[in-house]
Amino acid sequence: MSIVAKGRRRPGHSVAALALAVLALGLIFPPASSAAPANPRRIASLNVCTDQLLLLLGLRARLVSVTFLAADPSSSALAERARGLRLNRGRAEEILTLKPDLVLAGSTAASPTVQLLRRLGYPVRVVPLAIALADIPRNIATVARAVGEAARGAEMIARFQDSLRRITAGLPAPEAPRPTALLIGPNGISSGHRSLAGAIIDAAGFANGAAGLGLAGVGRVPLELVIRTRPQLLILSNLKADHPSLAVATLAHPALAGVTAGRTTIRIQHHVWACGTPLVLDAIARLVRIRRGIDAAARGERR
Amino acid sequence: MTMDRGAGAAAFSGIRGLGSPAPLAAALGAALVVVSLASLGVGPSAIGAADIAAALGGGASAEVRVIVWELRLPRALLAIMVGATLGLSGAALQGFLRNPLAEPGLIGISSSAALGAVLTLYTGIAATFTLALPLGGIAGAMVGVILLQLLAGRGAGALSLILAGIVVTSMGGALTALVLNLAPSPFAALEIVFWLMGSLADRSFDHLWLALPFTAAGWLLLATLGRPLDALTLGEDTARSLGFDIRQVRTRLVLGTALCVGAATAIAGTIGFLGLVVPHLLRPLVGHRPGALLLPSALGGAILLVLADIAVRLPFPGNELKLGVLTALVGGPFFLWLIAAYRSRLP
Repeated sequence: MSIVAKGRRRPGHSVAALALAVLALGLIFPPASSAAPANPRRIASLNVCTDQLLLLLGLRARLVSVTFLAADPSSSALAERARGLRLNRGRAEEILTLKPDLVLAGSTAASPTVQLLRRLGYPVRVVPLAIALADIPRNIATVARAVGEAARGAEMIARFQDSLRRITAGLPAPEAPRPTALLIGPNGISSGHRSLAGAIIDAAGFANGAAGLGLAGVGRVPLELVIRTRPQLLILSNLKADHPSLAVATLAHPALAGVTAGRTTIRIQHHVWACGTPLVLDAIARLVRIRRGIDAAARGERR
Repeated sequence: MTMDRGAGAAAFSGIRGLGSPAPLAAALGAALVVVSLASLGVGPSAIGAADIAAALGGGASAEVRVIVWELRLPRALLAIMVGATLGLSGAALQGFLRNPLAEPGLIGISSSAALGAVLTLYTGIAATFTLALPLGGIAGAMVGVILLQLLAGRGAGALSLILAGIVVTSMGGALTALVLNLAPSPFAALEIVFWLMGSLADRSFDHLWLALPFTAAGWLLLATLGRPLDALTLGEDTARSLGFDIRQVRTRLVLGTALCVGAATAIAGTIGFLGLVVPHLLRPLVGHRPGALLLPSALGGAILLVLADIAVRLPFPGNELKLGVLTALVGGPFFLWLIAAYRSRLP
């Protein structure tokens, strides 16, 4: 998720200095062989989503480092499981000293880091950001193959697809009229077309209000337009909301309360919606329950 | 000043006799009403004038009513409050310091107010005690004024005041950026732009009620400065001989400015140049009397900020510009022109 990646400071301004340091380190620590072993034992992850996929695949014992976000309960659904692991901030220096035999990075990971690691001969596997539900099995397969656990991956994919079918069974056809749902986080950040959160809303039988406003990916929706859309379901994200800021204060604007009267408002743990892992099933199941409730209420009114 | 008491009083009453500010204030007031109504029509969602009028009267759909009453109206009122504060305090500072370059943004009062507000907001103090936000801004403004007096000294010339102001402004800005970089919220670093450039986006009536008592108190204090400011045009000695206590006048000026600029900045961030431009535009219309300039400057500041707040919403709806960007684009060249004109008048 690009927002999560933005929170990480990129060492872009000091690339030259870092390159020198890395070269020096490279002389001291000879680089690992460039091809990853079939069954890597020292895996380092530079992205909070690959962190979670690795933990879900049960590979904790083979991880030499995960991101600091993985251990932060406001950024990761698996913070408990990540506790005790060595944490990194996505910098090459931190990774080099660990001599990993496989590095997993997200497509939004600081790319100078990835380039440096590759140049020094470390095997780096980039796992793209999930922006659709179909990306989830693809990413599971990528990670599972990279760590030499293809069978475990296939099993997880089968379970995921099976649960998804079960959860969404019996929802009206996509062509049928859908109630509108709109996700909004601090600063009015929302998710439109080609975003994982948008895909979750879609899969649960809602029309994504932000996509209807023309938003692609993750971006801002002005409060006025949130009010104008008047969604049946307003999804308030707690994204990084545990400390005071002007951005977080936008969610407390009285105008929002004025328009949600009589509609459904839920608060979500943003991290569950941010990474393409089987954990999104919980989010979909919650929305599907609300969708069925709205349908039942409508049937009750007609009667 | 070597004028004797009688001549001073005569000159003083002669100046006071020039023109009458009432028609000017009425015209500015009418213009303010017009631009404020126009600002209700601007926003990312298109709402017709008829719908807005209906919403103001309690009609229209629920969504339109919420947009007009909860988003656009408080925004227009805040623009009036902040603009009036900057115009009024600019006029008062220019009059008291007899310095055409004085204004809260340029001499560092706004930036130290922003620092005070930032300190209370991001440490969480403002979350537990709501009044802490405007009080933080006011305290910051007070510290800024005191620093300015220490740096520039009493009776400082125009340039040393501006230089001291530059120091206070850049220190305030740097410390604001530092506090925001250290703040635990990941959004804080992005909000540096708000505090240095100012904005009224997504503000609500809560913010208005929070700041208004303090800004109103500041306005009242500054409004009492009319006659002493007129007297001061004849020099401090003459003003003193006319019965004005200069130290007490200064105290009222400092307190009044800190109250209104501190509270306004805590809500809207730093907005520069407005307090500089407005008094200059209106000064010829009031016969160059600083006392008569106060009310028109407040109204003119409000008009200009409402207009600026309309302009920031027009080019990229939903992703608006910051107010300080616009006021600096207009005010910067004006400031240069003013310096050039000021220099040519010096021997």
